[in-house]
Amino acid sequence: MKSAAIVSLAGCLIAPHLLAELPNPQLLPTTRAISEIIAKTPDPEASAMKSYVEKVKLAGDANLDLIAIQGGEFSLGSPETEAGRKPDEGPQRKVRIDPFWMGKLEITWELYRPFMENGKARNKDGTLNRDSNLTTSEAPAVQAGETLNDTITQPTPPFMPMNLGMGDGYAKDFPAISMTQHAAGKFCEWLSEQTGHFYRLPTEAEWEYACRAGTTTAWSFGDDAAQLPDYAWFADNSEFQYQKVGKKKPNPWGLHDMHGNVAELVLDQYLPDSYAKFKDGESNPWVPAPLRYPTVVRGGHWDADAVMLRSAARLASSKDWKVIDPQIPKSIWFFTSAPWLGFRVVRPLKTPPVEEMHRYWNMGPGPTE
Amino acid sequence: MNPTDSTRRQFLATAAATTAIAGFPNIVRAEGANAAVLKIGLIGAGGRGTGAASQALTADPNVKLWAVGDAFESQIGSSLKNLATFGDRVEVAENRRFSGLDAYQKVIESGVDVVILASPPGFRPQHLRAAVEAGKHVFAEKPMAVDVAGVKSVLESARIAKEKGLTLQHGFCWRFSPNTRAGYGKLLSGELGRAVSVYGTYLGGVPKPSTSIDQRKSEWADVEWHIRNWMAHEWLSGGPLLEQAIHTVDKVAWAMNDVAPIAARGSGGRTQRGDDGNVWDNYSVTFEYPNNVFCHVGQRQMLGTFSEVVDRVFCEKGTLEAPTRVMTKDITGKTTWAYRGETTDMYQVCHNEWFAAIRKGEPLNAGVYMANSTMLGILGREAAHSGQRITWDELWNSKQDFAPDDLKMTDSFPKEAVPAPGKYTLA
Repeated sequence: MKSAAIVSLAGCLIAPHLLAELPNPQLLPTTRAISEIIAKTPDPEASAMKSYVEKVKLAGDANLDLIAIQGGEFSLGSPETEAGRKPDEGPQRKVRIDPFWMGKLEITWELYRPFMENGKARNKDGTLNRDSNLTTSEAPAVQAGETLNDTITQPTPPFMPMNLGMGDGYAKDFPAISMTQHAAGKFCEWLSEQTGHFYRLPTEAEWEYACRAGTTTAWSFGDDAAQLPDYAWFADNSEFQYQKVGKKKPNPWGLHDMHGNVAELVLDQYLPDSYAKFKDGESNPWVPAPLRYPTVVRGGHWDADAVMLRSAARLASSKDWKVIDPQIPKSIWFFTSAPWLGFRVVRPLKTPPVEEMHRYWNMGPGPTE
Repeated sequence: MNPTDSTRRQFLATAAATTAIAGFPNIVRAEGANAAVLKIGLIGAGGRGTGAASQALTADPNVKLWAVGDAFESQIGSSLKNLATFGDRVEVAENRRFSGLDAYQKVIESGVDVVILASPPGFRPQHLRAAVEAGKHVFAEKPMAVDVAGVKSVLESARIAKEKGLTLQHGFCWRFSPNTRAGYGKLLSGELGRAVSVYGTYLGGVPKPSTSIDQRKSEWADVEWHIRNWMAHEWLSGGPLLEQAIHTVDKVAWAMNDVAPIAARGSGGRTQRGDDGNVWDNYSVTFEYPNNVFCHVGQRQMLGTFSEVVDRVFCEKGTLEAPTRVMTKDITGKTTWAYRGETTDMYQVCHNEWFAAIRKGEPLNAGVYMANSTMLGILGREAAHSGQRITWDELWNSKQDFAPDDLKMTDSFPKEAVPAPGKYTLA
């Protein structure tokens, strides 16, 4: 379903050979093993889709709330008349989105920390370190004393707590922050292996569709910025730090903190003219991201002004978000200088084939810096 | 001992306060007669050393990476590969790549002008001495040493560097962070009144899990095995209060205007670590300063625990919080000021200022406070290890020396026991 978008975008900034290349092919056996687990759970009919709560075993059976989002059509981007609008938010395009579930809340430390602090000696690429050399990557095959989940590449230990001094030291209700898009993708793989449901980051179009929740105004509650404090944590009310998830009013579809608190990673490569590349009526548009920068970030955050929290506002990631990483090569896991960056997960109704699944969980293959 | 003798205790002139609030230069531009190409030698080519080399190459257009040394040959290859983006400014011919424990000496003798010291800190005093004796400008990563003998050696090296007009720059990186500087500037200018207490934390996970004993190859003697797991061994890393939380310790020194403390007391232990090294994984240390000021540092490297890195400097009129988010609060905890600028690369600022000083012929030499912040960490660690109150003067009189300078990779060097309070004594 995505291949049409890949072809139509090839050649604009993104080299076609990178789009064609499968990232981390050496890890395909792991993806394949997980896809076999997922295949044992049949996809429900769209009409039977319900919101549900997932128990996440490796996070101490913590709850992950998923909201069922029906498929539909909407206008991606903002009208030229919207106050604060930037040129990269247009031209508006009518696009179709297939049904999916989306996290009711941003992923919290309760869920993310066991993945991040996985307690295993790992090479820089996140494979298990079995040879006392951190720079060599090692085969994903499960060996004695290891589980399939261990062999999913996972973050190396951070040099300092990645809560960056906020929110009571990884207290469970605060949003997880400072991860790269690659790390967030791997979290989705980690989550999928243990739940048997396929999770990934949302595409930019899915994210905006869910954020708008049927609205066409600047924010999902309307155009009046004075109401923003009821719905969002941002520069005016956050006390200079992230806040517990789910404490503000949800949008019309029951999703919290789509505006503010932490900005959210999505799958797409950032192009200033992404929407010009899409056709009116296109289904599930997506700009694949073989390059680690820039990718799209959505929703605004605790240190942002109201205008950056609009449903259509886009931000592009940058390598500057790693400046506090003192090492070369810099970690592929942490945006050490993005204390306002998090994510939420989606589960599409239709489970994709294994190679597509692999692409969602392995960012690249472009250069890491 | 007279605890109010602040002249003797002032281990850095009050100029420190000015430094804290001074601006920092952008990328320096070599001018006129001082445009000579400077050749850099990198000693210790791990991730951090490679990062420092990259910052040096970025700081000044007329520098070249000229020689690289590391205990292990494989590190040199991966380091150079990662620096390949600098093109022909990395000019490290095969015969200027040195491995083994004497690699530092060969780098120094290879015709370099400046050296970057980024080996495990146990080697730092020896490397520093060799570099300044050979007349090189030096960047030394933190901490400067792991034991008292090492600190004394560093002070002597700082003196030699000063005599020779060499620069000596350091890796206490937060002292270069524009936002942290802005915050400490407010403190040291007196805007918040007198500092009455500090509570600094470095509560985190394990930055680099030790490889397990079953990964030890039979051909690796003790020294080689320890170096491969250097963070797990006191004689190489100084333990996590020195190796990692030294940043927080250094900021206590900074907040106290680099005045020496009277004494320290503390506790801690080795609770979660299961490797075959001998370092602790948690410390709770209090430094006692003149005028009834007590400064507390909490350090921990444990998975699944409360984690934060925050300095809280309590002053008469409010509190300074740093270093990631820098803000001041009034005495009720209400935020009164917060730094909202862009996050700038403090590691780069450090190197920019270093090369600017070299070019201008300025006598940049932070040797004394580098040594004293390291000594402060040792004071806390030894107070905790011994379970005693240890004074600054007692520590200076100690002969503590963890390892000889002439160890070879193939030597046997059995690890010391894990220190037990009430039994362990300061040498």
